[in-house]
Amino acid sequence: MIGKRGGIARFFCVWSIIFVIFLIVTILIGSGYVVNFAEKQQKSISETLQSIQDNTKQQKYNHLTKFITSKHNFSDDFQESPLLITDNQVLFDQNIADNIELVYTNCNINTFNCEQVPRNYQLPLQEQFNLKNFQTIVKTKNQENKDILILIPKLSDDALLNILIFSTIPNDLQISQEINGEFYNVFKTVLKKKSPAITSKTEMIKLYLDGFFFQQIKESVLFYTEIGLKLGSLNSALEVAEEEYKYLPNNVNQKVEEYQQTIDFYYQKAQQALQKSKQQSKQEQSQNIQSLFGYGQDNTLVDKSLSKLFSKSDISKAFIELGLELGKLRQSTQENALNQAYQNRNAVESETSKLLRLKILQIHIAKILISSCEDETNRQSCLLNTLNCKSGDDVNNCVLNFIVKINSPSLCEHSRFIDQDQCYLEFSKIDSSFCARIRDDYLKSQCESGALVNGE
Amino acid sequence: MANKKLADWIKNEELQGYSDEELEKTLLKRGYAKEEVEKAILYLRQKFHLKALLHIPIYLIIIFFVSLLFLGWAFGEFVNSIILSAILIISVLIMDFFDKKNMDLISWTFLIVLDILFLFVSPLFFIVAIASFILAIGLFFKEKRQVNLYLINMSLLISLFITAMIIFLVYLGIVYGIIPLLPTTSLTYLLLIFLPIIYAIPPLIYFLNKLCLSKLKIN
Repeated sequence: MIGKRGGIARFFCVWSIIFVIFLIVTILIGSGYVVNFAEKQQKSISETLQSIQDNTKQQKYNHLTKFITSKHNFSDDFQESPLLITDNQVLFDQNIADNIELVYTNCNINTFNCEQVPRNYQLPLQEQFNLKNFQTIVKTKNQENKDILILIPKLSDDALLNILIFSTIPNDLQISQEINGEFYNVFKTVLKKKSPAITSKTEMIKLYLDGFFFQQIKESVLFYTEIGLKLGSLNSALEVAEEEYKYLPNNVNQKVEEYQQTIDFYYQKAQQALQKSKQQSKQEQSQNIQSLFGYGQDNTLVDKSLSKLFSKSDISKAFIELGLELGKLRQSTQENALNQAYQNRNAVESETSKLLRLKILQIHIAKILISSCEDETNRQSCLLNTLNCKSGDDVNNCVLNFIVKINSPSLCEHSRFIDQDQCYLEFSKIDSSFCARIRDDYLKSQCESGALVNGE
Repeated sequence: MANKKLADWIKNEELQGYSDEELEKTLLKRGYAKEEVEKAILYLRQKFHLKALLHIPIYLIIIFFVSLLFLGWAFGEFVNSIILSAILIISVLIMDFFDKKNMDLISWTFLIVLDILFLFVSPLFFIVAIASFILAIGLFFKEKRQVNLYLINMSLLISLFITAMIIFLVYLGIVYGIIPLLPTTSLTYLLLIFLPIIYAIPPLIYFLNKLCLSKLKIN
């Protein structure tokens, strides 16, 4: 009956031809997909790197602008217009050049002195100055409250790298130089990083089969995370130092001793917290690997077998390694920053520099302690124990008292256990400017009017 | 419409050992129109009855239910596979009843409803059911409608499920036996190992379907 016609030999012959066609079509579609994926991948990595490099350069130009405005006592409130250079034209916001008396040009990037040129209204700005040599136009007010323009010069990467970070802390302090040195290293790493070269289509397929692109994703994610973590840590250190410098006490020595005692008391606890967190993250990573691609969650035979199959693939390997290395990177960055700061605590330097250094270390320790119990089942008792409060105490008060004792308002936003408004309210007793950070409008107005100064 | 009395007469004569050609000649001599005789024979070929289905080797029927339940368990749809097994058994009885009562239109409608029912119980098994239905339609017309569509559909369903189980068992063998021995490599290279399995799918279905229908006489 059925199957009699043709026979098995004919069936195999026809099916073999169909199978070969199916294979050829699959290979062609697969190759197209691989080339498309590889091109998108390389483009994405290049664009991300370009965007980060542009952003880094822009930060440096901003610091240069701040140095120039600060040097000449210009208003901090300035308006900027980038210069877009096409083949024959220079495009910028034309309104910025209106009602200007003086133009500050040819600024020296070391002394921040500039040449003052009166604005010649007989000529358009782009004809009076060769704007192709400049990066940005900044409009601000001078000491006589008159509008002036600053032409920020276009600089090479090396020249940009040498511009220091604008800060309220004097640059001659050792701690300031160290922070600037570290910023320099991070920015240099970013600016010197090269985009991957676009390869030929045949090479793309070969590289794809070798798992190159998944390794490339892993490496670029690790690179950006490392840069982000380092910059975050440096910005945080700078912020803490600036805050401390703003309220510099008369008796610096006494404050230094006080900080040293707190650091000696809490350093070991911070080390323990980091070790504990390291162990916990190791356990979590091994649990999360199974569910990395969404398989292995239902625990059926199909899920388990797919998990087994994918675990042998380069995609799985790259992403498992990425997960593990990201965890390690976070841990090691925190640990290295803590250990390095602790080892340098006795550096020979001025009292002010030492005070700022110890404050940075103290805040670093405090942040580790406050966030140390996030992954614990019993967070509250863990936190009470870590911050040396009595068991049974109110955890919110414990954290709040710890922050007040450390005396750093920036920590108010670092713990989920405390009410941020209440925290800033505590600091507004020392400095009423903290009232501005309170979110609740009623509480803010009460704080600003002084009604709550005594904690009413 | 086919002459049902004529079809019953042909059926009785066939049971006594006469061939279709002999009976057709006799009927033409008796004055029946050729078209009327052909319609009656076609009607007979398309009729379903339980005894015909039981001509499918019993071991294949058992392996089919084992496959259905095993695949259901492996894909986390064990309860659905039990429900589908029950639905299939009941459907055979219902189809037999419809054909005994000559409710031809209802039996065709029921076949379509049965496939749709798969979709509601398990979308995964619906894919297999719809594949068997499409293949059955193809075979039905290839055989010039001289077969019962429901029987062919059931035969292909059995073939597809058994093939799926065999392929899945080989896949498991590769994943747990061969893959762990290999170094970490591109997913493309890993998938290449499964090419021979993909190649084996249609021949397996072909072979199993032939096995299902080997003893089947649709009279």
